[in-house]
Amino acid sequence: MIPGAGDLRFDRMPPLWVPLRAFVAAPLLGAAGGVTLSAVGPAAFAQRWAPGLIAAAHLVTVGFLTLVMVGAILQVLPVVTGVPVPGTRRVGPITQLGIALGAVALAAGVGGTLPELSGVGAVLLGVGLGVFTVAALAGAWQARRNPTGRAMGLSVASLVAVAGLGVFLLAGHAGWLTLRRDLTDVHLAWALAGWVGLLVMGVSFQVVPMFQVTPTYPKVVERFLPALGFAGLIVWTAGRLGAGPVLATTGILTVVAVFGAYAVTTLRLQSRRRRKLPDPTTDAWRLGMGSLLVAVSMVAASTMGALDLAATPPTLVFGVLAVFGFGVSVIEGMLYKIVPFLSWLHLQNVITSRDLVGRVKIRNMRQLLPPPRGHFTAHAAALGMLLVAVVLRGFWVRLAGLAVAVDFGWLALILIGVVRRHHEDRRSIMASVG
Amino acid sequence: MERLLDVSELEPCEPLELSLAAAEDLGPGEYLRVLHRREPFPLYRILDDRGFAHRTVPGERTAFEIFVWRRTDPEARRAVDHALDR
Repeated sequence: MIPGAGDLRFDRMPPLWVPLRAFVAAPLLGAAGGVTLSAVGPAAFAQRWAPGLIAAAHLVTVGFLTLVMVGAILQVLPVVTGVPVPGTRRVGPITQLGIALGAVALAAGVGGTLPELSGVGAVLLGVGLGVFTVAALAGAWQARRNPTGRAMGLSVASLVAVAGLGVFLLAGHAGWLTLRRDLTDVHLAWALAGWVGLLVMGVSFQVVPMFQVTPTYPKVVERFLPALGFAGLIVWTAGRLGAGPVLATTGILTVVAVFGAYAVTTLRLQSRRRRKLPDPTTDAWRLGMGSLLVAVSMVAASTMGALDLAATPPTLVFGVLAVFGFGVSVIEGMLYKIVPFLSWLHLQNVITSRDLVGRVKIRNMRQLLPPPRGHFTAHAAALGMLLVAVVLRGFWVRLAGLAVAVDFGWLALILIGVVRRHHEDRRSIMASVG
Repeated sequence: MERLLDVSELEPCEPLELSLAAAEDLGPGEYLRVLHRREPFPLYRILDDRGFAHRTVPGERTAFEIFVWRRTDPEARRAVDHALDR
């Protein structure tokens, strides 16, 4: 066997339920975000501080993105690097429960439905993310020689900043501390570029070549891009918090260059796919990379003074593109592959351990989840409607919220279907054991 | 005698399924040479359990080449050694 630092180690996988539970629950919280947007309507898009917008956005970013990403780290870190997250069986449930319930409490609290729940959200998210970051950082430190392990470590370090600032802001909403809205941009930058961006980057080094059958990422990209992005964020934050505008500009332009280069590299790799068959995952990642390119161009234009990113329409367009166009697109595309793949692989392991190889037939990945082209179309339509809603407001905001709810609800049904078929096959394996 | 299988352009889980089917199909004195772009860790465990031996080396056309033969077939083993010496 060749020691391949970049290869997947499937014998180190945690139990299937650890990531799967989070992957199935997360779209339901995303759907709740769509329902919230639809229920609040045009007021949610009136300005960036609109309570309804903050509630809906956090149901998607915390409830969907973060819940899936935490599940992915618990799964991918041990598989890719051979280093499990310490105490996965205990860390998984505490983290998932804290994030899921915390996202709901946060949305109800800052959304104005039940303001007293802001504090509950702060505590739940603080505990859930606190437990996760300590365990994941310990695992990532041991895996620091692997490019994906390093990017994950930097991403989790970013999550410490995101969660710390987020809980601090939430405590402000709860009235326990002074609400420091001036820190929101720092929270936002570390969330989008650090936590989401660096993790997607690290995971993509493995899953893009593997599932989309592309060439591997250039070594220089794998080795240096995540660290450069992280350094750019630190420099920008230092400039933003008082060290001066030159540092802030240098830092943010570094971040822009890193993510621009990453998006272009990924699109180029996708254009060199070996088998150019239609594939919803590839389409979702293309949409994600396209959205990322537009979003970083907006930041660059704002830094150069060509665009006022603080104004409401540009800031909402940026948020929609970064969160829904980039984050949600790539993570949905990843789920299309990872969930049936993990299910299939665990069934293979069951067959092997029961000495039934060749004697039991199970579904393959495509039978566990046929390519979900319709769902990807619904997702792209939801993104389009959100962008239209930013411009036209009015009833369009309610329609866009509905489209977001359909997107996530449909995804939940698709993933539940995979779990159902997995259980059917597992039962037939057990039946053949007698 | 060599049987060649190129799975380097296939999506998961086809490489594993085709590799297993081809291994089961090996006749006396035959070995399987799988061209792969990743190292197939899940395949190893299943091959071990099914009585196959395997060896992975860096490939020329693809990143990895996996040689598979029946553990009970010394002639196939010699053929693999010969192929790897070349």
